[in-house]
Amino acid sequence: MEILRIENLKVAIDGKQIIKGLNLTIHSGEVHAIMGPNGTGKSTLANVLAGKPGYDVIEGKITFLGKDLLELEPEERARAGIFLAFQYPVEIPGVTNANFMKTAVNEVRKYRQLEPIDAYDFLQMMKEKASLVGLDSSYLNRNVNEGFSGGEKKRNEIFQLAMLEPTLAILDETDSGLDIDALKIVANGVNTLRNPERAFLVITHYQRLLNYIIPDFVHVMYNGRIVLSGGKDLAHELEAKGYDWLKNGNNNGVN
Amino acid sequence: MKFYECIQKFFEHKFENNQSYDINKRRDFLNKFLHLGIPTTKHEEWKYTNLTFLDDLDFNFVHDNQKFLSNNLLAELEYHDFSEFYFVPIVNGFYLDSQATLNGFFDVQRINDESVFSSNGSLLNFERFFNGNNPFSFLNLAAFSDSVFLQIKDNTVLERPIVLQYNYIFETSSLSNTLNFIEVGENSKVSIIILFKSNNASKVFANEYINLHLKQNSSIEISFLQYDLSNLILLNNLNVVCDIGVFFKSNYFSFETQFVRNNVNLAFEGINSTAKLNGVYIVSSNNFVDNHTMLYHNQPFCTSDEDYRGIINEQARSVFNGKIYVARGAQKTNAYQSNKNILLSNEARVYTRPQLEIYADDVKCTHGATAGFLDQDSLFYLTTRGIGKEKAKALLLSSFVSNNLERVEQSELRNILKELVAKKLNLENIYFCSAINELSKV
Repeated sequence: MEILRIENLKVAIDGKQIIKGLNLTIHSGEVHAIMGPNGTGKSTLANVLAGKPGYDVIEGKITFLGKDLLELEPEERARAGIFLAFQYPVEIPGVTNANFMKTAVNEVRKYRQLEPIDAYDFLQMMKEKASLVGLDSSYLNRNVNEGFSGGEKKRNEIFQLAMLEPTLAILDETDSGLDIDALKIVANGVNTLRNPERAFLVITHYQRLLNYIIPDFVHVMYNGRIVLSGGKDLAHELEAKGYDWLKNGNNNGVN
Repeated sequence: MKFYECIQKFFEHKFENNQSYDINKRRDFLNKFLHLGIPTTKHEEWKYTNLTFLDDLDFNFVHDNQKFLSNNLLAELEYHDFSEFYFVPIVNGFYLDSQATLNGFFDVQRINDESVFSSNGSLLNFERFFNGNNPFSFLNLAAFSDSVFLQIKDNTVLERPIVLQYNYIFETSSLSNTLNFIEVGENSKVSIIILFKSNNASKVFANEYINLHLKQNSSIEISFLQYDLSNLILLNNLNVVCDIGVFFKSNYFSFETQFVRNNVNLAFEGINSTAKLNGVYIVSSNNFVDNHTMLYHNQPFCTSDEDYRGIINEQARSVFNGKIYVARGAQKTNAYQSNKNILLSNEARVYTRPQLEIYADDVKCTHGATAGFLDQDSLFYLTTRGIGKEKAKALLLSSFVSNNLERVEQSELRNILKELVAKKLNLENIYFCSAINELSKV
């Protein structure tokens, strides 16, 4: 089933065009990886999908589960099944993870016309999902991301992903700032959450993460466009040749 | 001019022919007030506190001690959240001893003019705070209707707080002045909650004073709770004198207050004392809240720490004016001050003014003040989790004041405050989650 279709997307920030005609289609169960050098528009794409204010979509169309995604507010997108794991998760002092997640889960449940979750069930669910990414239950009483290490913040993102059970999960540079052990924990969490109904869009600068989260498709983004698409081996090829390979125009896909 | 006429009439009616008052003393103070007059915005301490509306207020002063209190009104006095605490009610300017709940470790007495004004009277320690900075201080001395002396004995730790509750249940526009004294004995520890309750039926001008003497090695947490005061003009004054080795903590919470001015004057008169001033105000519509603090570091080795935070919505206005004075010789003073504000509308206004006056050379003093809007990145983060914008804003606002709520040591009060803030921010369901927090500890 088709989950996401991006057609000829063009996006500008403060009048400067960042994405310059991007096409991408994602089906359920698929894991897509987007790679590319810095400043090429990868994170912009993630933010536009999640609905961050400040981005001008000047052309193109994004369809999510048959709906016009660009018409929806960020919270509506989340309730409809889009999840963005942030590159830089925000600290929220004074709000515990438990309060935060209970609010979020109930808002999503309300949208799906379900009753608010029972306190005991919720607690069990929290504990189960937290253990998935190696966070112990004391973490539930800690304030959202406050004083978390880089690794804990990223694990918290995957924990939230597990709690909210999205249809499309976007991971924006989730591997940045992670040591190899934390990377494995995060990747294992993601792999556990893979299922035939859910799709992932994994944005990464390095091939390293893709050793643990094996993608079905790899897209290379450069200068605001996807210039090359292929299978998982493309990532290895990129790693070996470096991004200069693209910049030097040695590939037919590059304009 | 109406206000002055009312004051004169009030004075003549209540005091001139009453034997129990020291009319000469009071007349002097009245003249001082009339001479200084209602401060205008040209007055440095009242620059952002516009009182011109007082001119148009017409107060009716015909009431007598306790006679007006029907049983129905007495029933209103009960405050269920604090029913387990010691209770000292002051109703329409009079201490209502029949309704008080006391115990043997402290003493509450009504005191007369003589014991207030005499050469070694209760006022002696505090007279310096009654000055031109606040002309209404003289009005209070001229027109206080009742005076209570609350004494916590030496070497006493009170497990339960004392609630001193001001009730305003007037039927017509009225004036209330009380002059109260609290003394915490040596090595004693107490928590005192000052509650303001009004039936808001008529306009009330309240000019209340608490004079607090903290004796050697004593400790106090004094918490002021002001909410739903839609028809009260409140000048709430606290004067504090700290002896050696004292710990003082104050909490000021103002929610939906039409007009509140909180004055704190605190003097360190002994070494090794600490004062922590904590405050949260959440105001909207045309509310006004003003926190003025004046700390006198007169002795070395003392620490003061002020942290006030506010959320200002719609056309509400807030003022913070924090002044720290460090006397010559008050070395090793540590003084921190912070005032942070979030504005929720373009019409909301914040006037914040930290001031330092330092005459010693070995001190650490810092101050900071901010006024801004909600952080958009945080807001976006919450909305990407499916949380609607309004609820996300409310979560961030509760987050903004959460540290100040946690600083309240008295746990029942802290919980009540959390509930009040949650309700104020439409977050009832959020704080319900504290139950989850409890569960997850099991």
